[in-house]
Amino acid sequence: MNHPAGETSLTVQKALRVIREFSIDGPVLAVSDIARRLDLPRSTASRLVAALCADGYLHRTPAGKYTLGLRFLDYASVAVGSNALRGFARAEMLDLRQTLGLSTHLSVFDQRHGTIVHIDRLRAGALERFPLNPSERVPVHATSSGKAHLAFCGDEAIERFTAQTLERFTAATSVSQRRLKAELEAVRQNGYALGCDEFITGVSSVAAPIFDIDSKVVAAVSVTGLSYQLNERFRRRAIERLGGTANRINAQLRAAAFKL
Amino acid sequence: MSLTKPSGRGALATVHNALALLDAFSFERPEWGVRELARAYALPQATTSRLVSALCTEGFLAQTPAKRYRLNLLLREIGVSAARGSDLYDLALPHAVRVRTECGLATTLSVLDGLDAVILERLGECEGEQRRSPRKRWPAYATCGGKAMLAFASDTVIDEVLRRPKSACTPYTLTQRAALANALDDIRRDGYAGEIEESQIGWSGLGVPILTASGRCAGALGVEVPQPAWNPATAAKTLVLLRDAARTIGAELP
Repeated sequence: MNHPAGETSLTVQKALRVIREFSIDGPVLAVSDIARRLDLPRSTASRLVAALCADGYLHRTPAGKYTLGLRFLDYASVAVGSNALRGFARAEMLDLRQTLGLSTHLSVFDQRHGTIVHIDRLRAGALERFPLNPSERVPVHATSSGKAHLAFCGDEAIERFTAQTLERFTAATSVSQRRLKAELEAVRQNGYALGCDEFITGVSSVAAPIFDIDSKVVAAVSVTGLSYQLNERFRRRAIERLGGTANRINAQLRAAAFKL
Repeated sequence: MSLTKPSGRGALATVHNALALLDAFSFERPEWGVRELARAYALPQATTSRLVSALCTEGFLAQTPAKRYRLNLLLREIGVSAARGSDLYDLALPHAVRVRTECGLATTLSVLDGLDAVILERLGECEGEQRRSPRKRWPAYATCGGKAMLAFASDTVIDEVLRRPKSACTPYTLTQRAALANALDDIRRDGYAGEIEESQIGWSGLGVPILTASGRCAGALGVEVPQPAWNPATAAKTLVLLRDAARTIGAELP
């Protein structure tokens, strides 16, 4: 390697960005797409793509476009499967689903993209028939998991988040800064967050935050069901059970001195 | 852990080395320090450190409080993008969801990647007496989905698998050439593959090939059963579900 370190690092960075250009909504790209989006000369893009293809990181389709190689599925399963939080929460989540018969999720806040990512899902009941959301991403302001995270992220983060345009998903979505802030205040008071028809009409959820030993919010655990099913009486029961689940996961994280 | 020969030269060789570091992270060993990686890959520490920091900046690795490294959750998403790149994924997913809700078993959609069966999606969790391994990649001869695809693969692929030495996932894995060849004949005759504790003890399964209109095998649908043997009536019912779904998917593929 007799290239200057700076130049080689740049090439690595470009190659990694080529990989990142492939997304859940755009999983098939042509060299020209990549060159345009990354603002690279076509010859550079073409050289990077050829190198990534030779190593199996990209795959050439019969139509001459490219997809990510399936080896990324291996990395994905290790990234998720070895996630420490998931290990801590799994048994509790199974218990919770068993008791309530509701779909149960464990999610983290992806600050970089400003969305919530489910890192574990246990589907149950009527929701099992719902189409799967392959990205496992949901909006912060329209879900209980999102609000359970955001409420404990500190004033600065809340200010920054609520200042942006809040997308409307249903008639019930909180798109006003003031209303969302009031909801977050309620989440801090109650220790749990509610989501009622705000992302998908007819679907409601309850979420509780999970904290590490520094009292930093690291995840949220939630239960989701059909709105009519989550009536007031059942919701109270769900909140109570969920609170117990979150407490036990928190106690385990404390016992293990877990820090994110 | 070692580096294979890079296909490019100069800066492109560095790309090869940077991405090769991802292979170090496994279920058995999900966390690495820079010094350990440098030693394992026989790379200078300064180089390793630079590569690791590029992987961190672009979100492929995440640093732990102890300044060690893990695969970042961004890779989960990159994995989904890879699965979705297959033209099979979007087409097959709703059918897999239906199989899952009707039979209640963990349902998988797989494709052949070289000589491996790779699970693009698994619906439902796998909580048996023993938890199902979260692995997505298996030797094709070891799983029901893999065997179903292998039986309908090209002669080149079949010959290659039969010829190569086969490692055992369990004592029941079909590692003997003749036994596997016979099993593949049966699968071609019956149109489905069964598996009894061949990839993991405590687990069995059923797989059917997804055959396109032109007779190409595009993938497999399967179910994973958390017991060594199951009720033949349930198995027969599940097989009907799987076959119907695979036929519907296959008819829509070129």
